[in-house]
Amino acid sequence: MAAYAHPEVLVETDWLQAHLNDPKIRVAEVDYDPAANYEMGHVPGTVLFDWRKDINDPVARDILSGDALTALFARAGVDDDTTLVLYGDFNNWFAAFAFWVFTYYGAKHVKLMNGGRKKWIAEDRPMTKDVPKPAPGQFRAHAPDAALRAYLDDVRKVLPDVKAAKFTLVDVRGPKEFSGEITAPPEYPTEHAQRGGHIPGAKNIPWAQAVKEDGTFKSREELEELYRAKGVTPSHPVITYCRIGERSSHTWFVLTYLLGYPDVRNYDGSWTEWGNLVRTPIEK
Amino acid sequence: MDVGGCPLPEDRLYDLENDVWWKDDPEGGSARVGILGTLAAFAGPFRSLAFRPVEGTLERGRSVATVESVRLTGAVRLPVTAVVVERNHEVARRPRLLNDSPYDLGWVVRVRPVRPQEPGESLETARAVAGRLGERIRAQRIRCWPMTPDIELNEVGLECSAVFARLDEELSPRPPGDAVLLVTDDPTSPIEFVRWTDRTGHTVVAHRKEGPLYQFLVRKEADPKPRRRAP
Repeated sequence: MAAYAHPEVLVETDWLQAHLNDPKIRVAEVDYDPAANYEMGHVPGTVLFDWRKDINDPVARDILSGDALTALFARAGVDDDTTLVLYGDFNNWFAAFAFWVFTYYGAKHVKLMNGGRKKWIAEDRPMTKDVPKPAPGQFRAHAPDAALRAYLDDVRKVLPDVKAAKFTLVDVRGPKEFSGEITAPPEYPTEHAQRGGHIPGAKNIPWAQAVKEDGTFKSREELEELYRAKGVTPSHPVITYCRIGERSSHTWFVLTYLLGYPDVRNYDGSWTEWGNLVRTPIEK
Repeated sequence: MDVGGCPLPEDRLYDLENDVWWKDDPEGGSARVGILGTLAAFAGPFRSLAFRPVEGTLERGRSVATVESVRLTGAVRLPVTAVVVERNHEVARRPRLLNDSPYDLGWVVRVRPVRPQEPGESLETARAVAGRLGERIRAQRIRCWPMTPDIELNEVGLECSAVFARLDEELSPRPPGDAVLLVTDDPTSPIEFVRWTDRTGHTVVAHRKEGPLYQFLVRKEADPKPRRRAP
């Protein structure tokens, strides 16, 4: 079986269990719903990153600022040479989003625990409710890496290239959101846009198709098959999007690190931005 | 007994740390283990339960099954050191039994304790855990209902006509028997709900008021019969 393009971004559960006492490793659980996950028990020594409060700007619709990231990493005890291992609920959905945000701000030693919280629990590995108090970390956020992020105008600009099959847009939402039958998944009924459908020319590959039943990523061959079958190839630049930009960072992770695509950006404005704009083209 | 609106049977012992109960079998020597109804109410509808492939003696706190709801992935952990002698395969087939019957049909495993005196020594009675469980119910805002909501609609800030439009939209694709929990802060909602049930023929199974919030648990009927009241 071929290795992933950048296998160093993943660690397995048994590796993490063997490295729990390594002072150069910090583990963070990234949850959508910390009360039902981190607070019920977590990997020993793990700090919590609450997706809503810690990874997003508290006022504007944006990811957290560089200063806020510096403060977050100080609180979590992350230094420049710390390896930060992320895992979380919902098959690493929000952990992958945090990975994208942290990489955007120049963090170099970030990894995902393959299989996430679900696999750790299924394997009955040690858990605790104790919350660690690490010594303040020294990591400082770098200037953002613009090559990882797409904004509304970027997407508008590439529409002709998408039409000419020189650029790929990947919509990672469920098929019913893609077709416009529903405007939000049933579990998140309040996260609507005014209009349903997708950005013209986008290909629909739901993010969860990259993951196996046990929560781990599919093999490189299976992933290549999945994306190439829909015409998503490394020879064209790619922008991923979903509803609010989290699920699409999971697919951004898969294309960038597991398959080694050279030019992938995440459009975090996603459908809640596009589907609310006046006079913006939509396909159903 | 009732703790914070949640039933807590007094015929068994509890391990609050692991959110499980222990009930000795009448014939002695073994006991059933299941999860607390408060955990089920907190988690929401369970959609899977998978038994772990374990054999022989398992220490207290080890997992015998993994459960998943829309909110959480968790483990069903042994409250004492024991050997699993039976698994409730029905609850693996219908994980909603964990919500609908946590203290009866939703039992998870039958076990034999390694030290017969351990349950009596380390587990607690309903009366002993009631205070701490009540605190948890308040802190985690756990609400136990006579049936498990399939979905919760938080419509705070909308006026009643918009609330009912959302409710109708949510109910229409659902199968009969599904329950929707609707939360609103519109003070006219108690009266408007009487009109709504008359108009649609669906049922308000239970309701309560918490501070400024009104909560209505609505069941979709298979054959709704709208009715007209005398003016």
